[in-house]
Amino acid sequence: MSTKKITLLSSDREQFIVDEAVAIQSQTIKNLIEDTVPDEDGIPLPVVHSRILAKVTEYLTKHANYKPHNDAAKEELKNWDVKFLGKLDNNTLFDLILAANYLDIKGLLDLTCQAVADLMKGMSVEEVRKLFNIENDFTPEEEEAVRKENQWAFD
Amino acid sequence: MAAKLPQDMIFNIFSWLPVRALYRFRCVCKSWQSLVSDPCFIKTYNDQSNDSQSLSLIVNNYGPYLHRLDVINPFVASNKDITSISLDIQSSFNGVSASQRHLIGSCYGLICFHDHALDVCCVLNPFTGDSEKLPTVEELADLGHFYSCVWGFGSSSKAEDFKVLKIVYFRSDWHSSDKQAAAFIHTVNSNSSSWRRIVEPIDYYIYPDTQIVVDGNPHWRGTYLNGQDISLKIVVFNVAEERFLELPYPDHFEDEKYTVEFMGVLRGSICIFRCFYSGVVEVWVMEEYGVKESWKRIFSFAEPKLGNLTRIRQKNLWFLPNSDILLVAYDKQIVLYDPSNGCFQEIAVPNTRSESRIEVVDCTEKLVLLKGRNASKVRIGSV
Repeated sequence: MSTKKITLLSSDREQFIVDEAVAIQSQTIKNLIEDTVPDEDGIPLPVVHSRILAKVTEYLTKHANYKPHNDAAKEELKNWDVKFLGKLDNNTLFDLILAANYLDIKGLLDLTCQAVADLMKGMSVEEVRKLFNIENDFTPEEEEAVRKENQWAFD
Repeated sequence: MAAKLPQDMIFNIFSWLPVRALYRFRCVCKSWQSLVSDPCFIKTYNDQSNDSQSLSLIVNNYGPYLHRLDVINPFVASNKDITSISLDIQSSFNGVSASQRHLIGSCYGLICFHDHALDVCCVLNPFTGDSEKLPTVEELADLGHFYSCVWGFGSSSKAEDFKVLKIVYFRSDWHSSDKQAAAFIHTVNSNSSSWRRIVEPIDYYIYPDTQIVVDGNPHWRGTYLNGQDISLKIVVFNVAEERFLELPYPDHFEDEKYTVEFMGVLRGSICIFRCFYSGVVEVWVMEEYGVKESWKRIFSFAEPKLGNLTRIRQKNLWFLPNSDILLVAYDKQIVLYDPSNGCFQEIAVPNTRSESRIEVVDCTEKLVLLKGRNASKVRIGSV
């Protein structure tokens, strides 16, 4: 395994030094390494704050060093993912989704999207609107009609 | 307050949600409402492999409702959570009587059932309540003397293009031993109100109520319709090409005393259960699809001492999807049975009267919406 180091630069210009093998799990970073001349401070990731990049690199480091060969190892990695998610508040979770999408890290994107789905499963419509910061654009009559159509989904 | 997420990430999150939550969140806002019925989203949702550890069973216990049992963690005895949902088909299909209803099969999120007394056939998405009642086949009067009839249900591609098949056997006169067959097809979710007759002659006599589905195509046990060769075959209906084909059956061993055989599916391969008088059940698998030499006896197990397998029908003995765990439905109870260690657990069936038998198929949660001209909604409720 290559031990070449890569420096990543967050939006608030904090440096994160990681192994190349760790960094290139992000398709976006891989492309940036191949296609651009790096900034002398590192590879700039102007939409990812250091608070989030710290989480991203924590995830990538674990997953790069851990190629599960058997069920027990897979289980261990799964448990690590669960613990990793458990430490995140909702805002961080949403920011991580945006970062995983921008950095093109499929594993992290699916993990975080699934975590949000798990959060939502037991929620009411009002709670979901609040979670996603969505304004209700139905009139009360329209909303009632949509509800009535599928009453079973609310019981 | 969380940042607003772009639509394609909402898309990803939605793909992890159960159908019930998706329908509930249709009234969050207008863009979410349209996303849930967006054909592109529906395709992504239906194509994703469902590796969730839950199991949904459709139970017919001949009451006014069909029941959907959602079993979370069916493989973990100590951690089983069962939700029971009723599907009110009686009031949605006026007059569909309960006692002569039977399940034809299940395929990519839809189930198909038939009422013998009224000759009404219905398809239903047990997760959304979308349903379609098919018209009756009308050409039958001209065929001759009715002998028997077999139903089939399958799909030519994942969660699209569902077809219901009715094969009618008839004789030219009451005394004739020669049977003839006519097959009719109805495409689900279309605007057509009629059945099409398949022109190609049908050479097989298919045993009623033996359907399994592999790759969307219905398979039955059967034999040649007429002639000297009375050996067993597996008869396939290729849904895309609308053609009947045969697959080789494993050899019979005349000296061995087995009572009944059922066809099943084990991890995507066709299998056969051979139940012996001794209470031993052998599982044979066709490892390579269509290759006779690839039939192998994979294992055998002792019949769980709960009821008599010889009274069981096809739909009451099958392997859970992607697993070696068996589901056995006896007259009034469902049992999950692990043949490797002999452990079994019961699943309670709601509203089962003491005299009733049950039949069970599994169903996967898909967003198949039925919008054809005979579409209607079945009321879904908790029992």
